[in-house]
Amino acid sequence: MASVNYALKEICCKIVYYGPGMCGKTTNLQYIHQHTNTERRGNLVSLATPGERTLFFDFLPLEAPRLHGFETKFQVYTVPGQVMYNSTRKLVLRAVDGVIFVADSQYEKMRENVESFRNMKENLASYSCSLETTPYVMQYNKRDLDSAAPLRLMQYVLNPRQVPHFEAMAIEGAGVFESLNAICKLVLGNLRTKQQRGAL
Amino acid sequence: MKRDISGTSVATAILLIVAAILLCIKLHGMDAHGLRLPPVVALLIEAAFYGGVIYLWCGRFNLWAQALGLVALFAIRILISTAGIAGAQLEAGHRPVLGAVILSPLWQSWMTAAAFAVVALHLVRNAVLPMKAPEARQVAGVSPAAKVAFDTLRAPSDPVGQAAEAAAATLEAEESTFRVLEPRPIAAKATTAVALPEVEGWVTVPAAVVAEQLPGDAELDAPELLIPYSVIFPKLREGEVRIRLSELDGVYLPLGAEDNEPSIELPLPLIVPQIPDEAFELPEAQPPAWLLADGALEDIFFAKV
Repeated sequence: MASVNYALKEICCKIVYYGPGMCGKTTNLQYIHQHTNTERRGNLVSLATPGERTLFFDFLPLEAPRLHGFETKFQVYTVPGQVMYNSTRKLVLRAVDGVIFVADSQYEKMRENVESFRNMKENLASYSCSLETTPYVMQYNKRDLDSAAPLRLMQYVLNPRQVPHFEAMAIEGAGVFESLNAICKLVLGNLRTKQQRGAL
Repeated sequence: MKRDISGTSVATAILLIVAAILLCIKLHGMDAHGLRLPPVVALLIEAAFYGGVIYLWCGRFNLWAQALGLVALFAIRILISTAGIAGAQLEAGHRPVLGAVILSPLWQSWMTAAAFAVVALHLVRNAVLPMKAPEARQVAGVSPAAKVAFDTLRAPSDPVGQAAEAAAATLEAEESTFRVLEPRPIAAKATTAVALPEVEGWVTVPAAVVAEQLPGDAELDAPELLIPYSVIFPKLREGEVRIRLSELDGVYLPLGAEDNEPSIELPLPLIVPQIPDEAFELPEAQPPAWLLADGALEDIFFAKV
């Protein structure tokens, strides 16, 4: 849940990159880290195995330009995609404000995408949250690969709600900032709506 | 394509021959061991044999299939009897008379019995019983949502549904003692309530793709399989198209093998390019509330530097 500190005029939101193993979540974060103004980001904390698989999570604090006089900070996390680390995924997902679901576009990863998406919904449900109340966007990564499935299939399989989606090549940066900006906008919009309703 | 010779074929042919012999005995007005069978009894025995044969073909009792099969078997029997009698009268130098043709004793009863067995086997088992046209007619022309509702909510007692299930019943004979190869029709029911595409069509899958995944004792006669979108799309939501063999037409499984629910996976790169874009069109969805929120004025929070 986002925190709003009126005394310090500060908003802090939590964004999580979710998706199956090896889909490019950490690559997204690394690209953001490398291509963001150093004054507006902290260090990228990453706990990985020698095989460059995320062991616990990646964390990157970002600071957006002031909005209506409020300092807006985003804490960006990734989850470990491997099936065995569900407890960690669940923990990372706690109090999330927005999710970027990173799907691997390869045909052979379609099943894993579906399972990961389902797992995300289950983990959200364990916190009494759902995708009805938590903003999320879809990022279809690895679009440059020959084995990438057509966009129409990705949409049909993963995005029947037709939320915003982005084609990406995270390793080259394509679609990375587009996804991040979209979720930031949705999260803040959702936050403002809640505030107007007195839910915050 | 269907296999013509199998354990079921042989067994039912024998049963049909016995039925035909009974028919001959009845028409000759004699009995096998000096006992005279009343026509009504002989007719009942014959009907019981036919019922048994149809049960054997279907694997379980189904009223619709029984009625359809009995009518078809009796129709074939009358045709063959008529032909036999007419032949006998012609051979004897008489001009066939309609009344005599129907009422006279059979000519060459064993030959008639065998002909009856073969013709009945082919026509009734392979053509009449697998009929499921009523369902196709009912489904055509309705919206995808209605199709889903139809598939999901169809009552087991519905005679239309029973007609479709009569075909599938051949494959579900769990109590059959015959381990034979049987055709597997396409299942009529969708497993989940997923909106079917507006576009109707088929995906062609080469037999080789399927054959390499079949269990050792299953067989495939067709050079390629045609799989309708209505079978593929509900499974696409799972990120893979894994189809139970019972859903494929042209694949023959040993009876009893369905206990293990064998299935094959169709490669997405093979089937997705065959499906037109419009088939993937998603129905209008109610957007979540957060998507309608208009609280943030900025479009760009972070930019690449």
